[in-house]
Amino acid sequence: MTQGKRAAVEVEREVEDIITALPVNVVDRILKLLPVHDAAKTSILSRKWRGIWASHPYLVLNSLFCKRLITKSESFFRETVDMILLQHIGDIVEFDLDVSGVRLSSFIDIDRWMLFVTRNGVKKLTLKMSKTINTTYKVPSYIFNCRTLEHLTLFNCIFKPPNPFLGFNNLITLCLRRITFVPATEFCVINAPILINLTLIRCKCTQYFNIVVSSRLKCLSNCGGHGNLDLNRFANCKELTNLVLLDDSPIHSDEISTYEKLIFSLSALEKLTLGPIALEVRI
Amino acid sequence: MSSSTKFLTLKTCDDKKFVLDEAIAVRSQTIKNMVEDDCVSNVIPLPNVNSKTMTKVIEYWKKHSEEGVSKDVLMDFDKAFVKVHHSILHALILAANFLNDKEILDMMCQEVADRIKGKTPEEIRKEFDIKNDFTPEEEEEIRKENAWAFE
Repeated sequence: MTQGKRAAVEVEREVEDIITALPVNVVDRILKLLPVHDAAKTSILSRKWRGIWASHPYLVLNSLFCKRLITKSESFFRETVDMILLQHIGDIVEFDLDVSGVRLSSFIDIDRWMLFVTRNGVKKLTLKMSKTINTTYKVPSYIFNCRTLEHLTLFNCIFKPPNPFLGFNNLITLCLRRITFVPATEFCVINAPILINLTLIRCKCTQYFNIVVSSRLKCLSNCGGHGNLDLNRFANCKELTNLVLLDDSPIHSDEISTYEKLIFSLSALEKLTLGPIALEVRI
Repeated sequence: MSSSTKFLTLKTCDDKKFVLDEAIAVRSQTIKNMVEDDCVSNVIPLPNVNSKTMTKVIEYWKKHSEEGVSKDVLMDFDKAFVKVHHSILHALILAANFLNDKEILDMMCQEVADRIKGKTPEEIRKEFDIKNDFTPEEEEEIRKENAWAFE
């Protein structure tokens, strides 16, 4: 958010108070510490505050928020999120939506909101979907193709990159929980040249996750997944310091050589969490 | 105190001087950068901070640099530290922002947020001397716009 844009929403009669007179970065910081209900309520304090809420770049619609609204009705929930996004001015730097605890009749609104935020400068996106519904949400192409994205967290989704896919060129953190990977029709790799943190928790069909990382990767976790994540693709991660490989079932003896090969190729490794496995580690 | 202790002189906007152990003063990232870049001559001017606010900041820095202070004592100190009138809170936030001291800034922002949380708009206006410059019609309009938040 530029000063210019924010100034545009101010009206000449606006009165400063000791909070609104603070630098924009500090005011945003204060608002970020408030639950979204309290943050939105500040819009009624004064004209200046109305502009602050409307241009607040961090929107965290957490589980509590979603549950509270959906208890009234699904349409009330939908209209509220629509209203929040419609009245927003400027970039939405961080967008967090947690509908994992609610049952939605369709995903059309989620798609619309994702399209909106990916076109409005989102850098940090968190989307937690419900696990109670019969169908699983498929990550739309515009999330994959969002150029501004630096941190992406997804929960309970189907992960199938569009084809062709240019890769997550600006992504620093990728956290995937309970994600199902789908084989691409044509072989395609997911380039993530500046990725630093990669976390996979309870993901399915990880053998189809063809990610290509650079030597910048520092943390890699794969916990309780199903499928056969190809560990060889991480052998060039010379800066990897933290490696977590946890499985539900013991690792087969024929896989041990793959693990060994990876671990001994990582010269910067500082922290290693493995299990359950019987492996002789020589360092 | 060891003979290698270096002292810095900080000068606030109202021309008061504070002589401070460098090891304590570098809790401010701004001062730390100046020291590291060798930009420090005799006196470091702090044009955005007055002496009253600087006294509070130094009080915090010294307490948090003391050795052998238990966590509980520090927590009580912090609690008392933030319980100030909003005008001092404002000055401390500006100072922490200028000095780039994330610890004090975070603590002060949290205090402001805590004073807003769960309160009615009227109570918040009173707390921070905020003047309501809306007409009743406009206020009604905003209430409708964000009806979900006012329920």
